[in-house]
Amino acid sequence: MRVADLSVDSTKLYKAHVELIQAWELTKEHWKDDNAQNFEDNHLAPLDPLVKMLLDATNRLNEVFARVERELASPGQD
Amino acid sequence: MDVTASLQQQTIGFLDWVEHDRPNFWKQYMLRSFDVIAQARADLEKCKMRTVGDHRPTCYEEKLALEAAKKRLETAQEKVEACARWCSLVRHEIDEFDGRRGGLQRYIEADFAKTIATLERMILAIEAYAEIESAAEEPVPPPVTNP
Repeated sequence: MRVADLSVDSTKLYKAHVELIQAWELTKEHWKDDNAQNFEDNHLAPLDPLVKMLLDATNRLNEVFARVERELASPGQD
Repeated sequence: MDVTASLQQQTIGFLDWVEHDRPNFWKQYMLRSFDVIAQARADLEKCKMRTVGDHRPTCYEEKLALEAAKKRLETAQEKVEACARWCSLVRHEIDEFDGRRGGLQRYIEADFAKTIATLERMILAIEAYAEIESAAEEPVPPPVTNP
């Protein structure tokens, strides 16, 4: 069993972000004025790079954790 | 628990494992390895003393056991050094990660709260507008006329 497995949370975050994008795409079919565009530009768009950066960082850290776990495992556990 | 809090908790747990659990384990393993070597040496010496007539035993198994004990100690020493090396590297990686995790967490707690508030205001405004519209469309009752 892993000491820490970040992939579960990483997957949750990815799915939540995809759900948000899909919900917004549906909303845009009915809300098409300047307010909708402002809302997308000012409130939703800034979220995108933050989520992507965190997903990349999580995957990278998870790889480091896996390597450290393999290297420092007790004898017979590796 | 939300994702960012869960990620933070896992990184704290892992750092504790690298900084405390592993160094303690491998130091204890190294100390036990000295005992194993001492025992293997004693067994080898005892074997060498056993002579039957002119025949001297090869003590092959005892020599192998001593080699294995030395190898065990070497591994333990390498792992103790690896613990020290990984401690600083893992801490650095977690610091970098925390910067990104904190960025999203701050956005969700501060900016996204404003986003929700904005949406709620818009919904209230639309509902109020819809009420006015429906009231305007209601048929006006005919004027009451006195006979």
